[in-house]
Amino acid sequence: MKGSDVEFDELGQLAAALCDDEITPTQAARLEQLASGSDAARRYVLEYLQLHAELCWEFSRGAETPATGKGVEVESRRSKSRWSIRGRPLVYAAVAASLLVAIGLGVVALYRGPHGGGSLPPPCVARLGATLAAEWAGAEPAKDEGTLAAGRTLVLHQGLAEVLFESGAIVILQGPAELKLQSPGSGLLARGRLTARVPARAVGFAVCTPSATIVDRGTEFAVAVGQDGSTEVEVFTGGVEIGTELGPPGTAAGHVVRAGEALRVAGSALGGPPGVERIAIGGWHCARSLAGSVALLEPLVAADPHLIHHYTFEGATAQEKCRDRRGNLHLGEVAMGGGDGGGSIDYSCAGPDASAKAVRPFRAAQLGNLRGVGLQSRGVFLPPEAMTAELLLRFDGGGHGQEGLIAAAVATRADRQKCGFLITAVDDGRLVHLMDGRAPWLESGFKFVPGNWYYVASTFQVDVGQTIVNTYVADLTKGDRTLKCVIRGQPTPGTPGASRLGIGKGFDGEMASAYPWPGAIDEVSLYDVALDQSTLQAHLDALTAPPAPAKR
Amino acid sequence: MLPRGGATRFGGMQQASRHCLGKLSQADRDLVLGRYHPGATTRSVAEALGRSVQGTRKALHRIRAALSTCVRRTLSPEGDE
Repeated sequence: MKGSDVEFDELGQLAAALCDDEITPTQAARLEQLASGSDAARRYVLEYLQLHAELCWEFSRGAETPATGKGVEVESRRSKSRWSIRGRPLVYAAVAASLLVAIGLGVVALYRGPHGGGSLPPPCVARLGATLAAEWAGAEPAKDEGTLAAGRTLVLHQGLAEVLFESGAIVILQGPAELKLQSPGSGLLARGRLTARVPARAVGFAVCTPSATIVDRGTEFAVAVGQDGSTEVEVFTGGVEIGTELGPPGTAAGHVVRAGEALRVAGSALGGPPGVERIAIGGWHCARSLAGSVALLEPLVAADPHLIHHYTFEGATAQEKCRDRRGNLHLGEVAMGGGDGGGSIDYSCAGPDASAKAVRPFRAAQLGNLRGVGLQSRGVFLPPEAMTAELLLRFDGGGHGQEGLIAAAVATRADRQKCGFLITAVDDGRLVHLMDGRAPWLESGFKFVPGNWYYVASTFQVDVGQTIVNTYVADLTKGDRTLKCVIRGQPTPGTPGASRLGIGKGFDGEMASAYPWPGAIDEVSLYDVALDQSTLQAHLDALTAPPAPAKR
Repeated sequence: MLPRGGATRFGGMQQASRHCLGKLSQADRDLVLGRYHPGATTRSVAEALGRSVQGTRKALHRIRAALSTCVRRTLSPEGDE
């Protein structure tokens, strides 16, 4: 500790005044000056305020009073709130966050204390900026007022919303999410996802979650809170300090996450110390700009009541990425009948935009129809009589000698005749369908440009031994914002066969795995209804909406 | 990846602060309990105890500082004992 005892005594007195909600603007400025003077001073104040937050929580239920004189063993008598994580509710995190970020942000003078003391109304700490396809719980926060007070909770059901904190930090809230505004330099993310961009003047901006406190050190980072209260943090630039129940940020028990790194803090209610693990970055879709993206499409798709299977390919591990987010048809890797060709699936392939990572099956350069690695469900997929298959894909071409190329993006096959080449490319990238192995391909007349990303959706309606097909396409790389209908109401012989579901692969006439997809795939969704064009166009809109005009 | 040492031994801040609260004298503990009772302020506790506000503030600061030191030692890899 470098500072003198006198200096630290002054620090402590000022911190005490802050805790007692009696700090003056002059004292606040002095506290900031001292706390920013050295790491030791900052740590001293952090520990002091952390203790204050701990005491606030410890006695927040009034379980003990001086009159009882029964000591401090209060845990067993305390009921747990609905926000409780291991018995510590969000109020603890809220108090801790407010106090921790009070230093170094020029916001100390605004602080009103954990019990809401003081007669002044809560200060305005943020403004609502631009929004994109935002649906709020209740009325949208008043943009005309332009300000949001401390203590306000923003509940965003869907879409994106920019929250401009007075400290200068810019948060993109990604619905569904719930963010409580704490101070000009902090917010409490109870659920959902956000991305924060923090300019130099707002360094120290903090996001509190049920299981962690993330304090910015000049960066852009994203936070996701799972249903179990777990927290995942990804850092794109700069670095953050993360505190957990074991200790606040900036202490030996905290964690530092730098650009290109990610960390998960478990939120299970099993008790004991929180599990913390390093994970791969890019595990989930986070919106880094207020524009259409996969991050905006995903919750829109997930909200559709007719969705039956949903593969977002999000997660830190291959197993998580292959999970069916709606049903139980989880995927696993499978090599083609002719072998894996010496390749493997790429689970971190660049997606159609910065918010997404995709998967890339492997297709061998030689004998590609028979060699490679794709994904396949572990259970049997029973195609409903009416259904929609929707996905994002990139066709990279089959290399030399594309004549005879067959590449299945989504497929089933029950037997030699009864098959479901739902989304397939042949030869040099012609988009085709097939439900009867003895019938000719149903040609769309559309050809994929190698290397471009596409939105593709096909609807299938069984009709007395045949299937009526509609297919829509948009070239995302080219900037298409309107769906192009390339097959409208065309009948094709046969009906989709029941089998394991192939993603990035199909099946040959002997039911062996074949026809791996040469390119990338993302956001595969299957619905038990033939969605209409307007619904699919809305999905495309979510992907391609232009950046919302900035509001500053 | 879990932190090692005292933090794990005591299960974090919560346990450490309780451990340290238990080390306070009864008078100090009562003062803390009074101050952190929901809705209480330093001023209200001082009035309830018939003490000066300034004296109560100083006492609370002394106790917090002691608790903070105790918690830091408790959470250190060596512990405080």
